[in-house]
Amino acid sequence: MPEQPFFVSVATVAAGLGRVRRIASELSLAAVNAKVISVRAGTQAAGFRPITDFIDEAARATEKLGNALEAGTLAVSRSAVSERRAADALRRLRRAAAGASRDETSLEAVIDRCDAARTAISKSMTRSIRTLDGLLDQISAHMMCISVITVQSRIEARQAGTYRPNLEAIAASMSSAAEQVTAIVQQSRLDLRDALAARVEHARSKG
Amino acid sequence: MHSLRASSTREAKDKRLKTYVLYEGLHRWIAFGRDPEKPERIIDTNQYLIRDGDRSLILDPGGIETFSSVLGAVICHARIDQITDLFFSHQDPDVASSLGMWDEALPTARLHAPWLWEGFLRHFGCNNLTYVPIPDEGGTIALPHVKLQLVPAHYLHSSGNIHVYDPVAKILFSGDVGAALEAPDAPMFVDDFSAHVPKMTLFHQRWMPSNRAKNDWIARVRKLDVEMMVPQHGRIFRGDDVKKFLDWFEALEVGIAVRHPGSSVLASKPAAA
Repeated sequence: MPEQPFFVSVATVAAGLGRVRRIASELSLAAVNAKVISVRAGTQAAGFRPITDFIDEAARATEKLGNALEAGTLAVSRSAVSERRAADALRRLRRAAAGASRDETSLEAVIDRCDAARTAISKSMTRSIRTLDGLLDQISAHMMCISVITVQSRIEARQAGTYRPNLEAIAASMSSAAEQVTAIVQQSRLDLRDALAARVEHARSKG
Repeated sequence: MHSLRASSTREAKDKRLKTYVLYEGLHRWIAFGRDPEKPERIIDTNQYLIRDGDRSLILDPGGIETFSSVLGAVICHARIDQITDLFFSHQDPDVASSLGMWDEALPTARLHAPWLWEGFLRHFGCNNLTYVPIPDEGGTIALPHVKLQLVPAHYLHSSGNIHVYDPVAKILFSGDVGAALEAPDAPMFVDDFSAHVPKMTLFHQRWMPSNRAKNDWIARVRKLDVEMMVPQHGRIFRGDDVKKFLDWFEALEVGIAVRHPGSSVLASKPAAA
């Protein structure tokens, strides 16, 4: 099985993280439902109502983080393709220079320029990966907050009389969303780490 | 069955290529287009993915500049190891200049393209993919639930040109035929055929060289049961608009640069449109 190019690995990670946005939309729906039901429940959900603000805020923040995550992964993915193209151009230029006569030195400047461009792309990609890593940290922490809200929601739902099943269903959907996002983020971290390690190994083997 | 409602609700609202599910049955057709990250002065292109079991085929995957967008979008619908086939209708850079990257990404995949262009297309880099040459008379690509028909479309506009017809989904991928030049954020579907005509006229008059080839293709396509015609540029035709297009195209005289040398037509470039 041939080694998977880095740009493919990164695109795969980006596709996985793209699912966070869909889950964030589901969370937003849960937030709207929570507000509607707590209003309808009146005094029966007096304890639940203040939590709906937290749920709403959590949903909005997740959506925002999901968007940033998507933009971040796409930036890394595009940089990976640009880096591959720049490396390919450099390899071909060096081959041409090796085949040229010893007196021919005009290619050196072109090679230097391409090498500088490739280095700049690599640096930019490293920055993008760092940003992405920070976003993954943020969303992980955010999911822990949602888990806390979920626990509180379950406690308050028990006091909501006939509306208990509705509010428990909302708590369950929030919990499920947080678990899914956490799992995606963990898997993406592992895949990204493996891809970066393979990239380093590949660069080392090429000298 | 066609799932147009589903396709509009599934339109992605992000920086990725816009995505539309055109058909959902035992296999799926997914269209990608309107790349928000596309560099300026590059003609916008539509890509299509046919997903069928463990096989996936990308039709006209596009140029090198849009490769990362296309890969990023496609991989949301099929794992990289499930992308088993590529199809090039012809040799143009907006169809095929990403070949070198796909060659690295999909080393075990097959590339179906007109036999005429093999020696030329390999200049884009094709060391790993298996080139499956399509003969002039066309052929088939058998996927698990559909046998795609490869329909000759020579000289429309390329001298070796092939389209793809899906007899189950009743979708015709028509390459540059039906293309329109318009704003990058234009809708994906034709909603008013008459209003759409001015966006297609010059393209077809100038790029399509042969009235004889055009009429030969129209006669061939009229025998097919086409519910949707999906071109590589511009908008998708549905239902009656397919017939309206064939009638319009039949009446259009093409190859105009030969008869009107020096006209402003010659100076028109797609990126500026």
